Amino acid sequence: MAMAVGCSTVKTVSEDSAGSEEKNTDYTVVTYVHGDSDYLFHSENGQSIQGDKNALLKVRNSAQKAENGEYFIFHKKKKKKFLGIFPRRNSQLYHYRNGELVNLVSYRSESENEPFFETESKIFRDLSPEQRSASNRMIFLFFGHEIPLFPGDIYHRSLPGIEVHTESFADGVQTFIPGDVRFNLVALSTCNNGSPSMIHHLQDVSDIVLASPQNLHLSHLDTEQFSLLETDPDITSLQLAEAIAENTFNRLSNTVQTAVSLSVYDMENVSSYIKELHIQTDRFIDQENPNLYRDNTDCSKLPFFDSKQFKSGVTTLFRPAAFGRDAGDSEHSGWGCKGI
Amino acid sequence: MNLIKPVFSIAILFLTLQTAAFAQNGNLSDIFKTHMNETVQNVKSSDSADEKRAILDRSFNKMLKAVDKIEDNATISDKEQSQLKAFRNTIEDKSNQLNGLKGFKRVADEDLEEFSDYSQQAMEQADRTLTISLTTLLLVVIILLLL
Repeated sequence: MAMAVGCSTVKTVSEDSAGSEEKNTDYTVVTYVHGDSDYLFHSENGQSIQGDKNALLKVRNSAQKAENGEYFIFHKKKKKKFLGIFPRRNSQLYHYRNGELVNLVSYRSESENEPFFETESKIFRDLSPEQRSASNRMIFLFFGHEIPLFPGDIYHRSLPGIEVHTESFADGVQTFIPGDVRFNLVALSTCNNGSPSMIHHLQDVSDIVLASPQNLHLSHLDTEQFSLLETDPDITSLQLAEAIAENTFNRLSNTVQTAVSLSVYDMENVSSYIKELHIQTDRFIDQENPNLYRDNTDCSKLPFFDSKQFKSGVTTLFRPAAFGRDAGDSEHSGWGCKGI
Repeated sequence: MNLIKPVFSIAILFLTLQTAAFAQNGNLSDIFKTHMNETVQNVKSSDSADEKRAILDRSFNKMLKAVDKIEDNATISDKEQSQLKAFRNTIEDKSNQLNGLKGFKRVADEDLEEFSDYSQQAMEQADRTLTISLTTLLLVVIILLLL
């Protein structure tokens, strides 16, 4: 059955037989795969791969194995127009429940200047049950490029009017589950977003955050470890985040020559100092005016950073690059900052 | 003898049309990444360390010239200039390391393939990407510079 609702077309792929009760799910994974930019990378033998399509495959594969879970996988694609006039519903949502694809939604952003995630969160709420059980675990996964610190940059190539920065990202994630509800885990498969700014803005949104304080290759985070939600349903979100980080770290350490850094932030422990750390990093940017387009550096290399004060609640996996100025680094604070 | 000029003109026209078609489909980031991928494959298929080093050196110089060309010919904002400057710095660092300049230890002959992988992977991270829009003509010029 296909149904057009506003700027989206919902195609029901699998319907429960009449009268049968919808099976409850233990967890919900909301995934946003950004594809409206340049995501080209190459394999070792020179084969070209699109990072967003690669991420989509990985998450859909996990969704198909989630017998007790629900996945909403948004693939945000470049805006296209039919005959150059009529906007097309070019982006897609793959909605899986209990391992089955139940809805395939083609959609487009309702406005070219809408708040980040507005259309996606609306679709998510429309397709969600009225009430989830309090024990239902909520996870948000984001695949894309670095979320900028401040407003004013183009993030979506074909929708430059949508403001994307750390604050609008956190506000947008919150719109998926308004009210006092929090995500149990937010995982960012991007570069440089394991930063004081991002963690500060996400402190009211999620219990645990997984992010990279420096670079992350476009082959992105691995999602196989989501299977732990099936095999070990009592696993804590902190343990799950650490398992995803470790799996990704091991793969990247064996395949890339660039630095690999992944941090897991336990927001309860970080909350005692994150505001202070955020203020200090912002002050440093105001005073030193670093080039914000350069890659992050380890915050512990900056003069204001107190390694003892800003340590609690952060677990980091780090392997330095094989070449470059930082090749000799042996450890990482887990925090990424814009340096000079 | 009289055939050389028209054949040469047709070849140039064909090359330009092909690059124009690629330029319209591609973007600046993709163009640099495609160039770097070709560089890495050439480094890996070469047998001599001197040749590997020369291939990398030529590639970095071409990319730096392409950045110069964009700075000289495109109308770009302050933010786009910062993007280009960050991109230039990363290429300069790699060029300096390859040649042991500006405090870098020269990349050893036996590490050149790994260094070419590193240079490519550094360009293929999920970090800020070049969002500069160039005219098709300037994109064609950049592609020709990188050939």
